[in-house]
Amino acid sequence: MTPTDQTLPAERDHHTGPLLEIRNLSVRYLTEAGEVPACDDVTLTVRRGEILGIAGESASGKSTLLTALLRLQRTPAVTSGGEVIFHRGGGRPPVDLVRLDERAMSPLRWSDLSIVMQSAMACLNPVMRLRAQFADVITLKNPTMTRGQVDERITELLRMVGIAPDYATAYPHQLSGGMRQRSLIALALACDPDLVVMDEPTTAVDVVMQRTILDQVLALQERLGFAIIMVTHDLSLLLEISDRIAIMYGGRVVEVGDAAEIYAHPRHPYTQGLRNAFPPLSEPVRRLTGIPGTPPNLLNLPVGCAFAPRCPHAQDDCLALRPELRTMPTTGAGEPGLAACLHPLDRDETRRQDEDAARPDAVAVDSEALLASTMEGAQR
Amino acid sequence: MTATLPANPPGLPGSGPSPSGGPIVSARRLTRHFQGRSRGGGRTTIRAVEEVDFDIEPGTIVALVGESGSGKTTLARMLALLHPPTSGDLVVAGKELPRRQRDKVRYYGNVQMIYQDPFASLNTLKPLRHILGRALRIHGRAKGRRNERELVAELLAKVNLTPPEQFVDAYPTSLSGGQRQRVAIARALAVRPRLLLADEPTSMLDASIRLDILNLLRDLRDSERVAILYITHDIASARYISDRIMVMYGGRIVEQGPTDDVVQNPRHPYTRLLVASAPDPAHHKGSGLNRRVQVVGDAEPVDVSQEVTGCRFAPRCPFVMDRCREQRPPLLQVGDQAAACWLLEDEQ
Repeated sequence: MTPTDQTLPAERDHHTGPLLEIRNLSVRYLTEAGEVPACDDVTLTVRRGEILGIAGESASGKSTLLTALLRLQRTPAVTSGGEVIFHRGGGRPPVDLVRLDERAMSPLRWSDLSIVMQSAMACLNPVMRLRAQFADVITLKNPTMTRGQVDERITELLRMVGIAPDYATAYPHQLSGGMRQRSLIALALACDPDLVVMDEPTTAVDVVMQRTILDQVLALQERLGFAIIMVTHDLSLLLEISDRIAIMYGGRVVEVGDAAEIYAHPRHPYTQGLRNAFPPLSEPVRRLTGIPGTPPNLLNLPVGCAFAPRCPHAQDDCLALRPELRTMPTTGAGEPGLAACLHPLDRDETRRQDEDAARPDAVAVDSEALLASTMEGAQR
Repeated sequence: MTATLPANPPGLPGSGPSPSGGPIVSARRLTRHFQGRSRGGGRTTIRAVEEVDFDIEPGTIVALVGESGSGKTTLARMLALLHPPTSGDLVVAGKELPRRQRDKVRYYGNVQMIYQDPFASLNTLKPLRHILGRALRIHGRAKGRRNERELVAELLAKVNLTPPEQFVDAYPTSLSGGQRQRVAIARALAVRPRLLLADEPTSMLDASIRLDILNLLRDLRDSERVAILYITHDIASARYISDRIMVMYGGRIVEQGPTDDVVQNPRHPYTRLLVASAPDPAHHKGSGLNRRVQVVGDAEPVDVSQEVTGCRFAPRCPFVMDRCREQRPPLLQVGDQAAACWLLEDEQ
């Protein structure tokens, strides 16, 4: 058992109340070919201290959503409606991020909200040593800190993500890809934000490095209690680390629910298709089908459900009516999920059909035993 | 057996029983070095691929798995004649690698590539009719214009771009990423190759499309009896389509064997780390299977310009012994699997 498994009760209390309420947020790209509704009527809540995963294919609107709620978007992207209510800590009143001007937004950056982007090399300044880039952020937010205190904090931050403090004097190009990504994470945590937004933070690194980074992020999140919005196209990864998951398709959220429910009982046929598009590692191999067709053209969205043309369960009304997110009845102990589907899948339909399709000779991987043996070795 | 492998062993450790006809690819002590410059500016040798032994049997999918910089793409590039081997033997379809241009064309009639990025690998100024027809013409696979048209339609149907009439005059620009990758596969199939080199063929595609391409490769293995070297860093997809897996680390093959054995019972500590690190949807939160993987040492990629006498994985290995730092372990056979690890010595 790792020390981080023991969460203190006081820290558990973080998991109460909303931190960020996204209400009916719409973002449009104004292009010559017309308005592209990249994000349409998105409503989502992020709770304090939780990990909310957002999954979707390219052009599903997930990155647009992130840049819109952090006010990092540039023209031609325009927020055309909705609000993003951010509940600040320390008894300060909630604010609507959409309506804040940059002068009011600026104090929130780094201290309340921060972001980790996919391409670390593009985010770090190539001609500044790591130390200077960290010091920039830390002194901006803590003008009274002495140089010694700043250096101490930098050392602490780098240690937190497993980078030797000597690297503070290195330039970004002297770091490996994994180290760069980890230093961005350390930078995002420099001012103890309540919310860290991560946009495909591990897509550019190797599987083993990805696991190292995510384990560090999870351990830090448990210790420091910040909330995470994690965006990635890799649903299998998201299932492993998220408390709740939102699935986006064609600029809209089509399903939201607990990770366990999304995995075991997806209600939206797209969620089911996406889940089945990732071959499992520990379950028996069976032929998976993927999702027929291609993602929708946002310039020419169908009148009804955007997924209807690809949906194996589509009926006539799906082509005419656009379904709204609604609460799904639940039988389990978990909280009910939401899905935007006129004919959501029954809980029974969505079980993974392992028994009937399993290859008789296939044996599931016992990754627990595998891990146990690896750990044993590590302790020698 | 504990001694290092002889140069030409009759049966390779980790190879299955060899059916009649022999392997389509047979590599022995295959090595490729590059000359580069170190950070200080001095000359260094980058040992991209070092003394690799493997066979690929006809009609099988062999997955080559490893981190970036492990040498998997260099290995494929040697097979694609893009880098001549520095040393070692590489026999493809019973012949040594060609040197003369005419022989190279004949070689490409047996071996074809599918690249990672279907947006870069197709000529966007030409319709599919031209892209596929050209491959047929260069390799003399079509007899006359009419036959060429028939074959193009047949190829499009083979990769499920149906009805073919709808696609023959289309340009790549009007196709989605998944469709483009199908065209790239159809072009490779035009010459009726015996070996396809697929270097991360799905990593640029969306999740929902990726599976279609994997299924297509699996079906082509069965219908065309084509062997496929599938290069990936995604061990879950390797498990999904391959018959055998080879794991590379720091320029060497550290483990190989039948897919199920390698994934379910990895013998090399690096393979264990790789399997344990891979995301698995079955380990979702609340499944009780959530785990932390203990990564020992720094998970940084190996520096293959440094020469080492022992095992490249030793600095990161949780099981490391003194011997590992001094003596390089050969591929040791256990059952159908082989792994380059001293731990297996006791089990033999």
